[in-house]
Amino acid sequence: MIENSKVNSTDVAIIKNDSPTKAISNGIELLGGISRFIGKEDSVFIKINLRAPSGFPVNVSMDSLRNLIILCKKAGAKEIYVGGFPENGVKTSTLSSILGLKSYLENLGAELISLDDQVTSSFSIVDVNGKNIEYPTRVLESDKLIILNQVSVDPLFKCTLSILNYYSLVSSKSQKIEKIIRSGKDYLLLDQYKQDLISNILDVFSIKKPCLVINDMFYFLEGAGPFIFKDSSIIRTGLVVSGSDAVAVDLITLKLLKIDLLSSEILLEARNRKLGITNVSEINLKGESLDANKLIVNFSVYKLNEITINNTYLQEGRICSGCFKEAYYLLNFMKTHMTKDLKYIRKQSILIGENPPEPDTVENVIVFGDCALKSTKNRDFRYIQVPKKDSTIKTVRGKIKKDNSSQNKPIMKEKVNKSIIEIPGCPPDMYMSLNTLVKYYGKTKAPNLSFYNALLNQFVFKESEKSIKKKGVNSDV
Amino acid sequence: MFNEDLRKNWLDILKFNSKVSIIENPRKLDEKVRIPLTPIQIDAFLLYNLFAVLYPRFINQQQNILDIIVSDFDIDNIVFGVYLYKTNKPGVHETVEILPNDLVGIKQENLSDIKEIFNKFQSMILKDHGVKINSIRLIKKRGLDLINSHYGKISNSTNSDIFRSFLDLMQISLNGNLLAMYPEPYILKFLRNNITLLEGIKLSSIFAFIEDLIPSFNVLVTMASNQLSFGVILKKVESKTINSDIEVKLLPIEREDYDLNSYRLLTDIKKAQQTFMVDNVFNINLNGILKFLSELFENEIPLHKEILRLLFQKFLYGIRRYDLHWSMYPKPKVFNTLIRFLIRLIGIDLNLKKLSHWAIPDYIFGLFDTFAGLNARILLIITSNKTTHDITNQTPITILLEIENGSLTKVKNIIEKEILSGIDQKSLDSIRFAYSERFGFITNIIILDKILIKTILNTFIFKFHKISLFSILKVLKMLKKPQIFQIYPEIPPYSHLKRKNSFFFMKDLLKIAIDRHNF
Ligand code: SF4
Repeated sequence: MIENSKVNSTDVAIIKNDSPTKAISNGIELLGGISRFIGKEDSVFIKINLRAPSGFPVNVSMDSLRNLIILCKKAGAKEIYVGGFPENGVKTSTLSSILGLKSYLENLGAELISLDDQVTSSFSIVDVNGKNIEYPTRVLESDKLIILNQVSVDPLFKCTLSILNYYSLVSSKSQKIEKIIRSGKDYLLLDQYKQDLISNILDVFSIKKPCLVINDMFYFLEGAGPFIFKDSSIIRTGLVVSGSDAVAVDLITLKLLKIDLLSSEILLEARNRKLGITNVSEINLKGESLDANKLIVNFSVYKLNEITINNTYLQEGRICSGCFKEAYYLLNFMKTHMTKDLKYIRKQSILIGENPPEPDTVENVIVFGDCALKSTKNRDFRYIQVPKKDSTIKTVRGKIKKDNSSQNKPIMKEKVNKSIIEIPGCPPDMYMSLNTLVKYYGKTKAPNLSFYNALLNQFVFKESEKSIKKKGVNSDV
Repeated sequence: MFNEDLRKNWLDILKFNSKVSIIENPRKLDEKVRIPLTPIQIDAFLLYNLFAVLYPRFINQQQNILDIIVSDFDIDNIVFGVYLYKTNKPGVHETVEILPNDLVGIKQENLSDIKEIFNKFQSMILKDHGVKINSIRLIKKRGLDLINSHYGKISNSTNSDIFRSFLDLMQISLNGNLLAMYPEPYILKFLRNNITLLEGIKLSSIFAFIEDLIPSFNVLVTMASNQLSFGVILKKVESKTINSDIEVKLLPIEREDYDLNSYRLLTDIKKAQQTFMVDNVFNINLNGILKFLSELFENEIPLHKEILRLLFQKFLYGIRRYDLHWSMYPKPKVFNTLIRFLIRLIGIDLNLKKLSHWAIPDYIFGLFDTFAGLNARILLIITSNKTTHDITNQTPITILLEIENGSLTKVKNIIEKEILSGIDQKSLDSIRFAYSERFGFITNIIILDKILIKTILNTFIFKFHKISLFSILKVLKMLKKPQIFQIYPEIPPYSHLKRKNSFFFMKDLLKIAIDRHNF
């Protein structure tokens, strides 16, 4: 692991202040001042949350970022780069133009780095535990790496820790977890997806140690997150945790949220790998008292059926964290942006995971994820019984004769149920899921989703839209 | 201590009110008084009824009120005057009794505990006069001086000037705690907390701004319920030679002259239009409005986003209930079945009776929260007759809106011109950066020209009866013109509007805004 800090890594500062920027400055001051982290002529890379084209707190607080850049400049930094991979393959340039980021950072004397731009960004292959990881050369070559992390609730890890933020230094493609079934091991039961994800996150994290880690929880997004949903809400805690050991900073952040090390799989694995300090007694706490500042917050729900959505019935089989996370986003999206559509749709069932129970109705069945698709191939809901149409001559003859047999029970025949929306993927991708739903429901049944999808088309679906047009699929199904 | 006009008018009101209970048909008295603090002449019996209905609903439901005038200075007993109103009907002031100033001594430091002051006066007056007071109004002498000086303006100013002065009076009194009541009515708390959201913005300036934007009009707003029916004639007169002015008249709507239907709406509003010689008549169910306002005032400020969502829903529901909660004359074209049928032929459903009140707020709030964020700072620049992007050669109104957790927490008027000195003012980047350096990160800048606000007000309020596809399209097209409207950085919904054909954009919007079928 590449080290890059002069500061005693056992120091962690907890600051509480009325001003978010002062909370950050005071924290750094307490740790010995910015010059302990940044030297003259250093090139600095600041890794921020740059998740999606959305407002605060999906992305980092720009006021906190500005403050940090100014401090780095004061310390004599020669170059300051800012960046990170946005989620779901959204381009940094798109995100920058929606947020007006590039010019804002330039005015501050920093540069927004589009890690996803093949022309300007290069990658080095780093070997970690036999895995070849594509790591941005710019970050590798920067003298100092800082993580400025906005803390919000997270469906998989309870809250967005700095180590998770670090993971988006590699592309969405590299972040994708391939389903590798180990012999004799139950992928779903062991939640192998999450284990592999944690392993990958820590592999990437182990490449280069940040010199300074700031968990900005001055404003904390609780309820549903880390994107903004209907059940999301911001609380003003006034707290910022900083230090040079990311694991220690994350541990203290979790402690403030009343989460124990033993409940955090990622920190437990970090402990196994000795990637940082995981023993609170070894941490030199500075600033506010940990015990006096513990917070009571609403975390994300742990069960998908706790997300109550109008007219939607969830049938859950055995699932892993991959489908849990994506379904969590999809369900929250529906709850936030599809009020009207859900009323028009009247009833929809979502089948998710391996061997989900049968849906209540055969109408609008969303089969979500490869496990659900595979395990429901021959299920009853895939076929429907429809009355067999008699030939017109037979019907007319029956009527003329007032044949009683025409009033008999109609003969039924089996047909393939076409009211099924298959969303493949392991796990499925959120934006593609929405696109599939729009194609199925159409504008008339889902006007809200159609409009939203048109907005997404501007920055996500440009390519896929072309192929839809080519195939001549009519969205007004 | 009191302005002579104010005193005389108030005593006239009391005198009239005291006659009402002993006269068989007080309506026939045909006396005129002025609405306190305004120049508006009103039928005294209508004012009586307004007090009888509105005071208990919004201020206090119980009888007997005590007014206490106190000094602003720290003296032994700061009480300057004590006035007891024994009320037979809550809110209807009939008699006034001056009580001695030393009935209960108050010091400046006692003012922080108004409940204690109330308790002392209540027990003392009960003991001495056998009357149980149920509310007190505490007015600082400075507040009274302001009222007096406001009154001084009434005889020689235009109505608009007087409204502005009234708004100033209200803002100063609430900001400076010159008026306090116990028990504190929701409306007072609501107004005071709303005013504290405004930083450097005078209510009178907002009034002047809106007055300047709205066209000439001559409308009658009728409001009726079982207990109270009245009309307000609002008229804006514009002329090239003199400044515009707004005329306000309040008049009783005699129930013998106008029938009310089961929804408490006038059945013949055309007759009202002709009788009062106005261009438009808005006919509103008073109970609905009063219920909406009562619920509104009960909320904490800043309004929580969920409450705002709910209030927005109720407001849209009110609009949807045409013919039930409100109606207007001339009847809006969009409510004409034939016209709607013809529009339907081109695939557009513009039926406001099917406005999706239950879904629109969710969708708008969802989009706003997603793209602007739960915490945001939005800089609003209002220009007039802007022909270029350059905002230097005019003096635009610049307002900063601060949003926290989806609620508006501050509205600030920015007057410092030096913020923009030395920067490239044609570049929205530079403008945003300059303001961000001063006030914190500006999420978005919205630049809009007054002409757009004017058009929106005309389309959706003053010429609502003429609203059509074309007038909505006109607004959408204006939004696309950079000299009229700009958002920087552009948020996806706005980029979508700019890219898409206005007609098809409107079609998509109406799909969101109008129900496909009734549920
Ligand atoms: S399809 Fe979903 S539940 Fe199945 S393994 Fe993949 S991510 Fe897990």
